[in-house]
Amino acid sequence: MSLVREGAGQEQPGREQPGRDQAGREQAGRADRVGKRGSVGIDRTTWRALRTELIRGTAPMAALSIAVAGGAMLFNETERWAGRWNPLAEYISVILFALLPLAAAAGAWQAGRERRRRIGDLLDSTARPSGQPLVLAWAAVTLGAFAGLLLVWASGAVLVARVATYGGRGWWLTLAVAFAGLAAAAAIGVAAGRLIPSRVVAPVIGLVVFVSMGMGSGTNGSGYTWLTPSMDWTGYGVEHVSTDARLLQLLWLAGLTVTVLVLVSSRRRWLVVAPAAAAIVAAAWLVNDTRDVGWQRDPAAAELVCTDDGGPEVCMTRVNAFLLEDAKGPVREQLARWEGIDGGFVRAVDSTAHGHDPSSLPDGTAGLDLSWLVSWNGGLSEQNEYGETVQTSFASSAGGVVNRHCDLDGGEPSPEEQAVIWAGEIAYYWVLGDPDPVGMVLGEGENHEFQTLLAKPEVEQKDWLSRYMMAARSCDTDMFAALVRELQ
Amino acid sequence: MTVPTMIGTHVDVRDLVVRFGKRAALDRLDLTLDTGVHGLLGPNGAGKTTLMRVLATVATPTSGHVSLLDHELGDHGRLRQVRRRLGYLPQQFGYYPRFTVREFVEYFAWLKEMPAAQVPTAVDRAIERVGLLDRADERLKKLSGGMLRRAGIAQAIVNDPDLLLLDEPTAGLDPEQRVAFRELLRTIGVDACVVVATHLVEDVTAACTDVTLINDGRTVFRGTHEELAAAGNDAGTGDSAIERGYTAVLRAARQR
Repeated sequence: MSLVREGAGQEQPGREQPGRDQAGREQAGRADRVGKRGSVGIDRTTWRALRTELIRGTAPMAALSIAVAGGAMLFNETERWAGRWNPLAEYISVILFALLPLAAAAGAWQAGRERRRRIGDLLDSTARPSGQPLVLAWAAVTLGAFAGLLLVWASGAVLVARVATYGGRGWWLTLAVAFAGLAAAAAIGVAAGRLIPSRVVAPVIGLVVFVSMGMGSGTNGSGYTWLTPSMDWTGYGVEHVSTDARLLQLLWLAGLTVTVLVLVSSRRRWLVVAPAAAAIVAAAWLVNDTRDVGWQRDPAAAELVCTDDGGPEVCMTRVNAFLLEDAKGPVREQLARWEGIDGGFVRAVDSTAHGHDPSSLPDGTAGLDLSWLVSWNGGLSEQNEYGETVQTSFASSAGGVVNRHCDLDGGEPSPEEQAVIWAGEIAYYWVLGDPDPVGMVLGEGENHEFQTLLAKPEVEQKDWLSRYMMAARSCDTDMFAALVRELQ
Repeated sequence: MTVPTMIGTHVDVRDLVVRFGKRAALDRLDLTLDTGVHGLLGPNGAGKTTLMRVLATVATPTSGHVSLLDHELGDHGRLRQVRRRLGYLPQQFGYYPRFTVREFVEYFAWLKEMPAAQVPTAVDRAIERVGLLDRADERLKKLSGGMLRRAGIAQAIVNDPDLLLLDEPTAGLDPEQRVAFRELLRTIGVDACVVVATHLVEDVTAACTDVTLINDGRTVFRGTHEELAAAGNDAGTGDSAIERGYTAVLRAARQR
């Protein structure tokens, strides 16, 4: 005897349900029709189920842990991103090394719930393929993780938006890769939770993901680093990761996520072919073609924005121009010290404009890196936690002029090079103006020469500095040697 | 236009064998069930839960023929259709403690692929039928054992199943709740096949239209509870007629 849905006027064998209510029949009929279509789509009940999982599953814990941990890390190093959109997105990627394990652990704990609650029999007796609740669980954990990361980013974005002077380029793709990384980590966690029957799988998979991030960082310089959504460092805002690299990363992570989910949720394993192929192609490209992907300079971000109020010129890159008003005064104080020094600094320029390459700076121009002095609200700090100030930045530039024209290879210096380096260091300490620089490790001879210079009248000090700048312009090693001997 | 549902035999089991290693939990068991409330009795280890798991499409038979709602159990293409019309309360009822009663029942309505438009009404109705409407928005972890059992029954009946399988459904229910539950079973059994596996013979007496007694994986008795009670007139022991019938039938089966 077979089940029949009786047609109009057609007599069928079997027993009619005498008291069965109409709603039940309609429901059964519709359910069958839904089944014949092969899919129920995302209907209102599915959204309700997702909402329930979002509220009652591990998603809130994922959101909270990621928001707290991410927020703590983000606001621990505000100088790395404050006031700039690209560095903010990049720093979000940097802290992913700690957030991806949280997403993976949350996914594993969520997927292991059926086993912990011993509800497997009940679920297995229902019509919906077991993969669908699993995907729903992954979606809930992922959305929770997204909410946590979004909160972290938004809290930084509020501060950046107040002061940013450059809209940035491609940072939203950097952010998209970070979110895709969370989705992939949650998928890996869900798969582990489904496949491994143990309560410790959640912390273990978190650890595995953490170590994997570390291994990715360990291959620094190779293409494998691009396979992790986490970054090792942020740029200075005048460069960004190429769109091609980001799109390949997105493809790799999306392919990985779908592949993992299909493998654990569907019996139709052939469905993994397309996402797995996409992931493999993207990964191979990222790993092997590192010359065409990676960091690219952003000329618009590096454009100079300069003071035009008639005073000594101070220039910041467009991306750092939000510092200009705060930096103008302290920088001009330093420039004033160089008055009366032939070839001395008459203007100061944000060194990020030249990629921190002093040889590309024009003579008379001090290159300043003030990015380490950016405060959390986008202002300029007088001093950071490492004791760096506008003055130390100036001092670095004064000492660094020897590098503009002299080719110091960085190895064991020759006696001629030693004189060049010593002269540069004496100039460095002269800018600091502190006869007993705290925390500075000066060699005995070096300190003696520095003290000798400071003991001279100011006119003679500036005369020494004038000759130092002249020697630097031509990298005259004899002149450097004479300058050092003069102080011995 | 809505068409009426025509169902032949709800449960048709023939020569069913389920083995766990060398041990046969069900041994050439035969069972045919239609609409009504059917009691499934038997001592511990008789195979009641295994049979319920097979009927719930959770356990796979080693051999034999199982047809549910006129679909062969081995027909995987039809399994999904059968499951949409199943309701199941396992002996060990697992639940998600952070879910509210409503969320839990709604979640199972989703798992049973109920049409979205019917879900809100069906959920409320199921919760109301088990008497938990006033606790519908309370989390499961805050409910007593009896209330949890009722929440389990609510998820089982939310899809208005044609085949309802309840394994020890009255465990943890107080006498008043059991009376109400039996009334619910009788109502559902009017147009659906309800199978109740239980140790409590009074539940069978009060609510079941017939009773099947299983021992060592085989059917040893099939009839009404009056017939079971009558079987104990001479040889059985127990405090009630049906208990005497129960023990008498079991003794006779063991002596064969």
